[in-house]
Amino acid sequence: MNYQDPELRQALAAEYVLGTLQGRARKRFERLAEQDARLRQIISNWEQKLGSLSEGIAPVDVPEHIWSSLQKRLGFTTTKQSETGVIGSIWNSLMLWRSLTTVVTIALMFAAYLNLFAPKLVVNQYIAVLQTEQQQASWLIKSDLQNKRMIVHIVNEQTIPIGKAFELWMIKEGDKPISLGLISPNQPQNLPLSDELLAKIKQASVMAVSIEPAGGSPTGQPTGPVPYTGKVTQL
Amino acid sequence: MTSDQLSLQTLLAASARKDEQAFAKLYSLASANLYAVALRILKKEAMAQDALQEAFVQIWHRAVDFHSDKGSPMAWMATIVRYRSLDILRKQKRLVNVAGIDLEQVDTELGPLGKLLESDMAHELWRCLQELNDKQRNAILLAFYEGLTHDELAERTTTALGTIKSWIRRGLQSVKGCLER
Repeated sequence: MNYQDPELRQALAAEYVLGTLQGRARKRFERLAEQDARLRQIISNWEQKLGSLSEGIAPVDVPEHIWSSLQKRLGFTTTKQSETGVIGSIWNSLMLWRSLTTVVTIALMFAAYLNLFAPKLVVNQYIAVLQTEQQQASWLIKSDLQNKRMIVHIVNEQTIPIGKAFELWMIKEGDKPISLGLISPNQPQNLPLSDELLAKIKQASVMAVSIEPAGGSPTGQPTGPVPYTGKVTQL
Repeated sequence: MTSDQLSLQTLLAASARKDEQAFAKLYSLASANLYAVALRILKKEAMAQDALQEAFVQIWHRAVDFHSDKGSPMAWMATIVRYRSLDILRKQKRLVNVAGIDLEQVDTELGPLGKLLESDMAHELWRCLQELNDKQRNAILLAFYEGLTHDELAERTTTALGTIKSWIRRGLQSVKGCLER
């Protein structure tokens, strides 16, 4: 084969990227590309073109342990994110990734729905819709300051490994998270709020749920992954 | 470029400087998409997880090679995942699910994907793929998404091998021509 023929180079590069160039031909082509910068450029062009098709695939959750073993394999020093790391990443992920308008819309829709059944006009409520990174809503947290209650609605039931618990946190920007206790993955809850916590909720801008040992965080700060976050909105 | 792509690009650049936190975030943002890519080709979770891990090891070491002129960061990472998946796939004696495929019907399965595409390149490519006839387009999409070889495509669509090869070759040529117009 004449590997200098421009048409053949294009055709081989395209099928290399597609994956239909295989076996010995694929290996031979890889060796050829190692010596040939212009051929690598042609391959790279096809990778950009065809690679973009991967954007269209619906995401699938990856089991937790994959990240731990990847970290070990890469020799990362931090097996756990530091305290500021956790808070920092909550903030960053919120700022970068949450479409806040979506959160607020969902929250307002829920609030409207709930208020239909409320006996009187409800004021002084703070709500947060907790979502996964894929923007799937999991819980709606409603803090009713008038009645000093926190109501946890289940939007989508979650599952949690045996021996683990979901812990709810509120966060004021720049401060450490404050625990609001453990919440159920699948049962609605109606919990009392102390005056102290009530005062803090008013200042919190974010709520988050971390995965902790059964019984809750041993340190009083999030120690496990934080898969769910949501912005606090006043109604 | 969307904000998602920009952030991935920033995180890749930080990973190139060996910023472990940035890499952790890159993983948390991209792994579910990339896992889906591997799973689609390999079908088995354990194998797809191996491919994903190996790909992320490469992404960590090769992040320095990524530049925005190499297309979208997701396309770049997905290419790494696809190559790892294809390697693993080809090493297996694949027990092919021999259910036949009607190449004129596949579209219903792959069609909606077009709506999820993010980058300009993906939209352009999708537009150009629509210009192909159904059989050409679907042969290419099945090779891309499911990792099927010429032989497997021929067998599963009861089409002559030579015909499959020419559909794919000409299809890719037309796509290139269309993208350059």
